[in-house]
Order: sequence, then structure tokens, then C-alpha cells
Amino acid sequence: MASVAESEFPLASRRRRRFTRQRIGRVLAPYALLAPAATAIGVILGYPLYLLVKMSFEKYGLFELIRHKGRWIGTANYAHILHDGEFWRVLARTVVFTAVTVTLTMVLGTAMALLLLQVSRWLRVAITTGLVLVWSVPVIVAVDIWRWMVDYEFGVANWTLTKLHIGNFIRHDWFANPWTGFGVITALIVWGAIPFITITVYAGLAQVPQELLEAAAIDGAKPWAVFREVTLPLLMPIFVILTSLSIIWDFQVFQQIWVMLDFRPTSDYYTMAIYAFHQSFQISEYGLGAAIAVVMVLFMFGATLVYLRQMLRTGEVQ
Amino acid sequence: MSTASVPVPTALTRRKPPASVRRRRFLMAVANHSMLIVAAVVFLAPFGFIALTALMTNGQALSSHLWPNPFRWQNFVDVFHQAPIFRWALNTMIYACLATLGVVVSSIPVAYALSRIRWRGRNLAFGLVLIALMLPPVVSVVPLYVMWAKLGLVGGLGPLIIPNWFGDAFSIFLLRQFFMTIPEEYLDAARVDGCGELRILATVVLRLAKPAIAAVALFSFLYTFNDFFLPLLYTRENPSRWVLQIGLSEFRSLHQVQWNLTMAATLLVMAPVIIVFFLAQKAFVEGVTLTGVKG
Repeated sequence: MASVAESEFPLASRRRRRFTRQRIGRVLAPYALLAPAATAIGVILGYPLYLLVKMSFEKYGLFELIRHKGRWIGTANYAHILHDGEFWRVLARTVVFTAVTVTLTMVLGTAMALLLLQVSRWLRVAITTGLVLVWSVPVIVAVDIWRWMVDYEFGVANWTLTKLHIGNFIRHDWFANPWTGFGVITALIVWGAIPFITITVYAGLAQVPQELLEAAAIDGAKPWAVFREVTLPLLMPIFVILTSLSIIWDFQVFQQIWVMLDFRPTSDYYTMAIYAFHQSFQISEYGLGAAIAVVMVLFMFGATLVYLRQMLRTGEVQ
Repeated sequence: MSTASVPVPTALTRRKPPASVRRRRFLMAVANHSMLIVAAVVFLAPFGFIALTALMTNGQALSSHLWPNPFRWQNFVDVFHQAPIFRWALNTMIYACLATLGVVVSSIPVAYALSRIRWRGRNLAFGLVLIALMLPPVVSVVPLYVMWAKLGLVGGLGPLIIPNWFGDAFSIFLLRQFFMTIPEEYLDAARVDGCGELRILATVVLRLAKPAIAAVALFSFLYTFNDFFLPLLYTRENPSRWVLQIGLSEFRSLHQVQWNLTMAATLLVMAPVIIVFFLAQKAFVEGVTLTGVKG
């Protein structure tokens, strides 16, 4: 801070004109900073959003796509969706899938971060290396590895389960039943998401003052109580961000399911994003797809509202 | 908890913990280590499979043997002969580097305006950023594709790179959370010294926010390097603009039965991002932590 003060002051006092120019600058600077912000938010975020919302109120099929002009039909798209049993099934499936995936990711990721604190250095380095490796795998590659591992003919999973006499898994197709199929997909996504959670939480844990933990232990607190009463409240901001990001990411999961099922998942595997994609690009009902996307955003907003409010309030306090 | 091994206050008065406590502590350590070793195996097993298969002969890759015999390092050379890896890598680098630069340059002022300057509609603007974060890309891409098609840029890297120069929702979000943690006194001190907002941003905020900026840059690089969906959408028809991920996916469908070559190609594609990651890991962890803990 001192260097700023020293270099700025003589400059400012040298010439009087400088003062006025600076004053004008101070009034205009926020707008200079806001200009790119407003442009960015308006053009890149706002405009497509506006188009999407507009499209969701229009009949927009192939014919309209060629003409570049939709036909206004009011809330018909929304009425159609809300009266469609398929939509509610997909929504319920997506909510359950998100809840399970986010919970597993957060619990396992945090547990691993807590374990990392306990073990010797070499094991910690080995684990961190593994996490970083997993983190850097492209989704396409990750899906292919998993698909290969659970392949019904050559898969390692079936071979191991059969050898261990857990059952006869020879030529067992994991995707014939949506429950086991989603089990594999959940495992893949949790596997891919844990590194980010673990490394972030671990970095946060390392910052928790040791004295606090010791004080709690001296007062006779059990490990679980120490975690709940000391660690958790301190790391709450991290958990808030990680949980809301995980909800947002898992709710709109697309690539993993899409690639895992050979670019043509059956309707048993539809989640919201796939359903929206299907309506848009496979049936060419872009209006319906847009309406589904709007409902999705509203739903995610609802699910993360508590967190969002806390994030906004963070700004107000300071 | 290492501290948890002191279960009752009485234990504190003793120099050396009693045998039972020591035994439990030892057992705990064994349990912790074995749990993490299992986790490590689960995490690393897929890489074992990739690496081992990448070194097998083609015939062996299709058999049930797990260990390569003989080791065939030639696979890596063959990949280079069978696919224009360098061209794909060049395209990927152009995309990843220019996009990352754009994200960093454009997101910083936006995040600053959303965190440290008070203005009407600030929360609304931040809400828009959050909505952008929540929009499923597979759907929101429709209007954008129409726009790029009208501009005649489909088929090149333009539609991939240019939007990043107008800010990226996730980066803005992360940087905003970090900027929020900078104590107001620092900024006030600079204001008293006669700094304008731009100068405050350039001198005070940027210096304090280095780890967060590093994190955002790394995230952005990782994301664009591994991006599959957008390059597929915009460059599919133009093989001279393919990036590594598209190339890899095409390579897989061309050499479907040659698992050994496919896996060797996979390892080659993953290598650069792993190297970057290890180099930047420390800065990254620091950035993410500060963003969260003090937010």
C-alpha cells in the first residue's frame, strides 16, 4: 500500500490540472469498468437468454428455423410440457440423480480430504497425484474408460465380480436396467468430481487454526463433534460454493450420459438436459426445448436460492 | 483428527499416553492409510488400464491378459504416423491459449464492477451471471449458432475463441467471490491517495488477487483444452481446424478395434494438460481456498 501512496501523491500535486482530470476520472471510471461488463453481460449472456425466453413462447420448428422467425403462441409450450407425463418423470429422475450424485460427491470428497490430513506425506503426495490425474481426464476419455470397464463382453467389472463369486456376471449388461445403468453413470460422475471437492476442501482444512481443534479436543469433544462444531462452521463458505456448483453441474449433466449410451440414450435415461436437447435437435421443436431450458433454470434457481442469497449478502456486509 | 487421540482430559497430565491409547492411535493410522490406499487404487486403476493397454500389441489388447508382453513402445510412434497430431495440437493450443487470455482479461473488470463498485442493478447483473452459469449449454447454443452462421464464422476457431473475450460466467463468479474478500480499507487507502477505480484495480486488486487469477486461468485452460462439444459443433465439417479432442474421437472411431493405438493416443492427448496442472497446482489451490474460506 505504501508504494502506491508514495508514487501517487507527488504526481497528483505536481500539476493542478491533474486534480480535475482525476476527479473526472473518478466519476467516469466505474462506467469505464462497467462498459465491458455491461457489454459482456448484455451481449454474451443477456442476448441469447432473451432469444431463448422469446423462443420458449413461440412455435419454432424446422420451418420457422429456415425463415429465421418464430410464431408467437403464448404459453402453449409451457402448457404442453406441464401436461406431459414424460416431463414430470424426467424432472423427478433428474432431481433424484442430482441429489444422490451431489451428496455422494460432497461426503466422499470431504471424507477423503479429512483422511488426507491424517496420513503420512508420501501417501498424501500419491493421492494428490491420482486426484490431479483424474481431474485432467477429458470427459470423452473418462466415459470411454468406464464404458470399457463395464463392457458386457470384455469388461473388467464383470470378470472381477464373477471371479469373486459374487454372482454370474458373464455377459451382464449394466445398461439393460436403468437403475444399474444410472449406478454406473453416477459412479463415473462422482469419480470425476471428487478431485475438485477433495483438493478444495483439503486446502480449506489446512487453513483451520490448529489451536481451535486442540482446544475442542481438550474440552473432551469427540472427533465427530470437533468436525461438526469447529471445522464445519469455519469451512461453511467453501461448502456453500461447492454444493451450489455441484448442484448446478450435476443437474445439467449431458455429455457423460450422451456418450456413455452411444449418442442415443433411450427415454429411460433422459435427464433434463438430454430431454431439452432431444426436443430441440431430434424432434426439431426448438420452442419446446427452450421452454424446458427455462424451466430448468427456474428449478436450479429454486434449489440454490438459499446459497445464492448468502452469496449476495456476502457483498452487502462489506 | 490427530487431536482426537486425546479422548479424556485426564490423559493430558501424563507424559506418555497409556498403551491402550497408543494401540488405538496405531490402529487408527493403519485404518486411515488402508482406506486411502484403497481410494488411490480405485482412482488410479483406470490409468493403469490405459497405460498397460497402450503398450500392448494389437492382438494382446483384445485378449484378457492385463500385463503387456512384450512391451510395444512403437505404438506411440505409430499414432504420430497415423494421425495429424501436431496439427490438432496446434489448433488446441490456439484455442486454449487465446480463450484463456480472453477470459482473464475480460472477466477481471466485470468481476471488479460486480464486487467493489456500488451501482444500481448490480445484483441484477450478478443474477444474470448466475443464470448464465445455470443454462444448459446444449440448449443455449442454438441462438448463438444462428448468430455465428449469419456472421459466416462457422467452420473456424472464431466462434470458440471470441465469446471468451466477453467474459465467462464461471470465471466472473469465482473472481467476484475473491474480490469480495479484499478488505475495504485497502481500497479506501488507495482512494484517499487519489487513485481512480482503474488504478485501484490495476495496482491493488490485481496484486492481491494473483492466486485467484491463476485459478481462473487454469480452470479456463483445462476447460477449453478438454472441450469437446463446442469444437464438434463449429468445426466438425473442417478437419483442418480440428482440435485434439475431436481428433481423438475420430481416431477412436477409425481405429475402433485397435485399442492399443487408441489408448496410446489418449495418453498423448492427456500429457500436456497433466503437465500444466502439476505446474500450476499450488497457485490454483491457493486461489480456490481464499475464494471460499474468506468469502
